[in-house]
Amino acid sequence: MSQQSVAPAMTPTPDPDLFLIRAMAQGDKAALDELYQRHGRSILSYLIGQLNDQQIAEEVLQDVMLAAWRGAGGFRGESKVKTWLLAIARLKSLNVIRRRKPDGAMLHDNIAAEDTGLMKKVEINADRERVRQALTELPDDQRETLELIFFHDMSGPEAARLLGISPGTVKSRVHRAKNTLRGLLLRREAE
Amino acid sequence: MATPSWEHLLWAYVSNTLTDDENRALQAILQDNPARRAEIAEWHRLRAIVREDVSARVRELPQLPPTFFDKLDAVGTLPGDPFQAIQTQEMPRGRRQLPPLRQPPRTPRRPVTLVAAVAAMLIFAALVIVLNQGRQEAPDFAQSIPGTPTPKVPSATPDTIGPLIVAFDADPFACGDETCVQVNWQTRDVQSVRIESGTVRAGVFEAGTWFVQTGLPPQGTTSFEPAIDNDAVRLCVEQPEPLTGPVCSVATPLIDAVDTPNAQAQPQIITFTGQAYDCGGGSICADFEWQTRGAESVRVRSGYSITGVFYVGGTYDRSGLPANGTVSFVLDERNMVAELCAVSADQSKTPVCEVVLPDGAIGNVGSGTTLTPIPSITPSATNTPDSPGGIVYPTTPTYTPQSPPDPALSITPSLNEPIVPAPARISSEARLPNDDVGQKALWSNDNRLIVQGMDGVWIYDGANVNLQPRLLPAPQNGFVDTVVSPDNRYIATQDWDRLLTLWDAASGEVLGTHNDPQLWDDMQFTADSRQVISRLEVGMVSLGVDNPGNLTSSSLPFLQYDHYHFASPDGQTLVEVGAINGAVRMLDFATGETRLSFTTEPSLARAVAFNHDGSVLAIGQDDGRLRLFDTTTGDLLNVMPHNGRVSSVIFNDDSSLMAYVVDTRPSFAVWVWNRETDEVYVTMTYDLDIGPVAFNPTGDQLAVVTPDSKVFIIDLTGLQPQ
Repeated sequence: MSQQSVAPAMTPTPDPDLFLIRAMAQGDKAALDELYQRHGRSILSYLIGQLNDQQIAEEVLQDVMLAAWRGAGGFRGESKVKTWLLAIARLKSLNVIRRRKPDGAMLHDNIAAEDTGLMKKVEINADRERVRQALTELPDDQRETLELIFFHDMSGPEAARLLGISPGTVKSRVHRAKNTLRGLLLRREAE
Repeated sequence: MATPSWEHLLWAYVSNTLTDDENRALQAILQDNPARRAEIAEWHRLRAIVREDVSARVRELPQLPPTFFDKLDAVGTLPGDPFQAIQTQEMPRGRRQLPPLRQPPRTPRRPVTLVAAVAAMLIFAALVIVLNQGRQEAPDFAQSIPGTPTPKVPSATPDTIGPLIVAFDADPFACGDETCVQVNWQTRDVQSVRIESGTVRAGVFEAGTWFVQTGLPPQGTTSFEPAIDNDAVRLCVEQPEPLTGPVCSVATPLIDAVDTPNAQAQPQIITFTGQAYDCGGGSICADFEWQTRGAESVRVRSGYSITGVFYVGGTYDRSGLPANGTVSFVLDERNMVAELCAVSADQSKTPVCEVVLPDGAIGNVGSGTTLTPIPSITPSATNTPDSPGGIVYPTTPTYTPQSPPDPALSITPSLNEPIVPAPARISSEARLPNDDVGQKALWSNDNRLIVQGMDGVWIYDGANVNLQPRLLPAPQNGFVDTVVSPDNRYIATQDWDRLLTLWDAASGEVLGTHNDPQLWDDMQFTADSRQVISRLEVGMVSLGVDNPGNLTSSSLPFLQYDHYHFASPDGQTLVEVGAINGAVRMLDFATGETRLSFTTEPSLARAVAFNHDGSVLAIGQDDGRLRLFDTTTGDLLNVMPHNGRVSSVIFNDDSSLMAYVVDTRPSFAVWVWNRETDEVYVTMTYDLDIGPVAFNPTGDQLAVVTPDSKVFIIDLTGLQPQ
């Protein structure tokens, strides 16, 4: 094959966020704003899920962006930029959580559920609202894992790294989350 | 190649790692099995609901206020060039040296032109509209799995909704002396797609950093030269939220080109998991399940693991087991993990091994049995899984400590669960005024018990907590953190408005304040009581030399943001613990020079403490273990396993006792480790969050505060050395 017949290769491009991080390290505020536009919504969604408070989540989001600004020069590319931002957001939110007034309701992990048809029933009835409500009642670790996999599109190993747990635990948490949801919905059915 | 199991395929689908082959296998199963279709439909719907739910949290991203950008000037940036570091460390420009392709290289397809792309999109859109007119209400999830590699033209069926990857392939071709990859894709009902290169390990796609393109059209062609360590390409659809349906598909053009059809492949362990359960009679059992690829058989052995090295335990050892299967055995302190080795039919290939700790084992193992400490073990050169020439494990572990630990430490590695009731009692109990919410306990060296609450900082007489405490009032939202200086003179608080306040501990007078753009959360005084560092920020606030109220902040640029930081008792060393990678660095406080590096497990560490002389570092992690490390060698000295995250840890004055809090929601427990006996006791459990606890100056009492306004003083004299 001659080289002329080869389709022009696109210039290999690293994670496009890396250029923003580099620009930020050199003091480019517009790069920070661009990074915020790209990932702010996603990080804020994560923080609201963690903190259950829009106002505090927005404040912590600013702390995360401030930390990203300061720490851009030290970013080593061991993960994607978004994962790095999520890791900082996670640390910040955990620190806020441990200092806040505890929520009244704490759920056990193992809510038994045998009726495998219930989710199906809910699906048929399109009763998303009840499932959504049940999602809010999931134990924090299960809900967080579910969101990383389903919303932030992380693979099992990526989520495991962020959460500091084994991929097997990610798997078991996701499965437990589904079982817990079943249990919550069953309980509602019975009430 | 054996067909992957249903469970494996389902998890690959759920966790966004479905490959083309797996996708085909999954579709084949779904075609003939309504029950499986229903199962995957459940997950599909759950994914959609989660996405919808999370998306709904943020209607509109708030703009960063102008004051925020002013803060950027105030905090500045730390030195460094991430791009250079990443290029040299993470993105090697070397070229993959591939053997000649077995098939003649194909003529690469020309990339679609803009006009052609637009025309194709219009035709495609029209086709979708026509086909969607006959769409049924219920989605056929079997059809909506992504990654159908053929046909090359859209094959939309009327009963499919949501994003759909109609076609996706990636083919290698020669480009000069190198090998490039051409990617072709066709999607339906999506706004744009993202394509990225990466690697597939054990069936899981790991994104690389070399090639990422977002916002690409729903169908098209592109080509690129992959980085040396990238052999896979992932296509993910991008869609306005809420997004429903499968989103990604992976192709492995370079693996396929080299190893068609995986005949030469090394055996792979696809999944290996374990689950512990109570199997009666005071025993804990575990089921282990595995799936492998390219293995003729597997060998499973029970054992235990210390610092990542597997040791044979003796309960279970079977060779010739099938490539996919399950086994069970009873757990004890020497048989807590299982090792799986996948053996290839080709004797020249080294078995691939993996060790797994069953979920739910820690905290259960030994609860009804008598356990004996495992002696210290020094791994020999031959018992590491990656030894050349195969894997050799001693049938009996050898115990040859290279350097005996400091006798003063009296620490022997153990995995013993506490089985002895604590010789401790609650000696007194007080109630915070105004039903305040107790968050943290501190005990100054001059015997003042300091309790952080929502109303502020309560200062008790440590000798009698029933006396009325004094209050250092907090603003409306309370304090973020409170610390007391080692010389007992100062109390520093940080509030949610980022105001750091220095108080005179004796008089309660405000000596000075410092308003910083950064949140100085999780603070610590340095040993000389002259600085405050933050465990999450990368700087410190210095007290004025002549005027302690003249607070100024400065950077510690050698620290990293996604790490926790702690200062040693002598103030000479900072330890930095990676929040997610388990990396531990001991740094010279003055210069930032790394004195020692070692690793703990990659699990979030938010409870860290030095013992009194700085020779031992305790790290409590979210994996439920509290680990003790020798700070001169980095050796792991001891592990205390629990079934909940370790949320705080502290040593008493002479380090004879160590207290830590384990978060086993809905209950919390305060544990105390006795150095001399190497026993661990639970001294208190509570159904509400227990914040950091504190020892009194003589180390024989422990203060515990709770959110329901309780202040408990636990008498530990029965635990102290006689």
